[in-house]
Amino acid sequence: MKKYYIFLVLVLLHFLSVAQRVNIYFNALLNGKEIQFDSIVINNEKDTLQINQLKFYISNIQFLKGDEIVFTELNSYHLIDFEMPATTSISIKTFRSISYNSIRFYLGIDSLTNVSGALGGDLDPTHGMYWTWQSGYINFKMEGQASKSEAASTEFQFHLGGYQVPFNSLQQIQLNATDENINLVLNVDPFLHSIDFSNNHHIMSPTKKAVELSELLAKNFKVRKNE
Amino acid sequence: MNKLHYILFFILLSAFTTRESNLSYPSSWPKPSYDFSKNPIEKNKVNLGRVLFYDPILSDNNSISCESCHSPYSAFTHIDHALSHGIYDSIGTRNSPALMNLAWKKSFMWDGAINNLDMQALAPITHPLEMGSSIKNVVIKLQASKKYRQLYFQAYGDSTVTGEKTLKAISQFLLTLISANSKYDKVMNGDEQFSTQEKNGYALFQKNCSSCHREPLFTNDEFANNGLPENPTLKDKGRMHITLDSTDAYKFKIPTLRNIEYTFPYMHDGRFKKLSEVMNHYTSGIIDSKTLAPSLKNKITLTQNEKVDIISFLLTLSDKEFVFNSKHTYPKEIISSVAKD
Ligand code: HEC
Ligand code: HEC
Repeated sequence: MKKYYIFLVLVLLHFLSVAQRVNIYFNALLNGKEIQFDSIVINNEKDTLQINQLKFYISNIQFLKGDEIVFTELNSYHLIDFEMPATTSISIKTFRSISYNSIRFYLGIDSLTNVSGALGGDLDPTHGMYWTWQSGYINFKMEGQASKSEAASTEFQFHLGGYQVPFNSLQQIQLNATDENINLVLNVDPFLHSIDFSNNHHIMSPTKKAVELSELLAKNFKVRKNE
Repeated sequence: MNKLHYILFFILLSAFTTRESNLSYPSSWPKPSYDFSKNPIEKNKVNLGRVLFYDPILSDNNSISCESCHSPYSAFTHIDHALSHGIYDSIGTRNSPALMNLAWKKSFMWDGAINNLDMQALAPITHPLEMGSSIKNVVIKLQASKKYRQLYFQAYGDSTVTGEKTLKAISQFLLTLISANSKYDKVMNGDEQFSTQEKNGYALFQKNCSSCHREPLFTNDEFANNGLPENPTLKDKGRMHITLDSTDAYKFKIPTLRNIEYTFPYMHDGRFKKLSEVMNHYTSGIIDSKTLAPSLKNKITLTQNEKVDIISFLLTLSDKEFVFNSKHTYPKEIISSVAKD
């Protein structure tokens, strides 16, 4: 019996010694600068806007070497909320040393999870990322004010989601990355420039437009090289 | 050592045997759609869900509970109102459905907007005209209550309140609302017999109605357009609101007919007060349209007596034990056994 314990301890030690941590840091840029919440900036040369809220789900994180998946994070669901700095980085323990040249993840929540009933942690509906009158997770949420918006108090609200065809807005993103510290940057300029705020200030349900905007967002995630 | 092995073995065994539903329902019924492995039924969780169902704490100003619109004495519908004060825009104008045998449904609401029973409660809790709160506020209020901290502890071994635990407990109570003890069920078990009129009605029902209102649940859980003319003020397009697909226009969830005696008024907008009006709709009120159900394209002809026979059969679906079951009513006994706030 004793022999087994020694063996177990050795195995554990082995794992601990080669366990590796990969840290992923998220940043969101507006006009080339980190977003300052609730402060007014110029958009499209003459209109002004301000962003009050930016949150999205990152899920199913994997690391690949070429085409081969070398590591898949279990229970991989992360709510990134830029108003809560603690949520803007993810630390993943890999239990063994891995070498990879790309990272792959979803922007949003997969359809199986969408139909799985009440879930906890980052998926708990208290985070305000679940639609209440029509089931489904909100994959990406941006709210704020735009001078051109004709809605009450010039607000805009983009709640992008939808898991059923033809309005499945889940996006897979794959980017080159080799470091243990990965800086992921979302540039929101193309997204904001694509919107005519005077007649498009609210998206609150799964639609074609929600899918198009999700695709555009997915293209604007980049890995920033470490200085 | 040996003894220890046995104990370990049994601990493992008990951890792995799936406790499935723990609910009793006739063995001839199909398998439930609800995934009980994610939320196994346990007495203390059902109790918590039942207390929540009857507690106006779920609404912003503590005035409305689930029961306000789903009364146990009418098989959990809102009998005196055709249209329950709205849930969100279009949905806001619908008749509250009876609640029973929910474990067998794959989607909820007249248009299937809700994909899992757990998520159902979010709709009324959040709607400004209904309960006007949010699950986040509800969790904060519950956490501040001594009574609920005790109930959550009894249910989950931990007094921390979360959205997940709250929704799952409400589901547990809803899942126990099983109606399977009507005269019809007793006849099927061989314990009772239909009268001649009921028997005749049953045959006519099987011929004309059971393709949609399928036994034993009296619904096939699909969506169909049963030919109701569009309500000119509500202009409710049903399933199309969700799929945005015009081939789904005017399709609504096919409702169960169990306990139909208690669940008037009928249809998604509560337009009919009596079963005789429903019968007249099926024989002479059906409006043809692109999305009308194929099985209703051919006119149904029934004599006045035959309509009465079908209604007498429908009344055999009343389950008094269900409607007066003291395990489903206001949970006096649970509330008096826990701390007061
Ligand atoms: C103000 C009235 C009202 C209140 C309060 C209310 N409901 Fe409802 N409920 C309705 C209406 C109306 C519908 C149908 C809506 C639709 O189909 O669009 C409904 C539908 C449902 C359904 C779906 C049934 C089916 O067969 O599809 C369930 C389950 C349900 N309610 C449970 C609850 C619970 C649990 C609560 C408390 C958290 C609650 N309701 C509070 C009015 C209400
Ligand atoms: C093509 C499918 C279909 C057939 C066949 C059908 N029904 Fe229905 N039935 C429905 C649908 C769908 C509804 C709900 C419609 C709505 O509210 O818009 C409904 C509603 C009802 C209701 C009201 C239930 C409630 O809780 O409001 C009754 C009663 C009813 N049907 C009885 C019958 C009878 C009796 C027959 C046979 C003569 C029949 N149905 C045939 C699809 C069908």
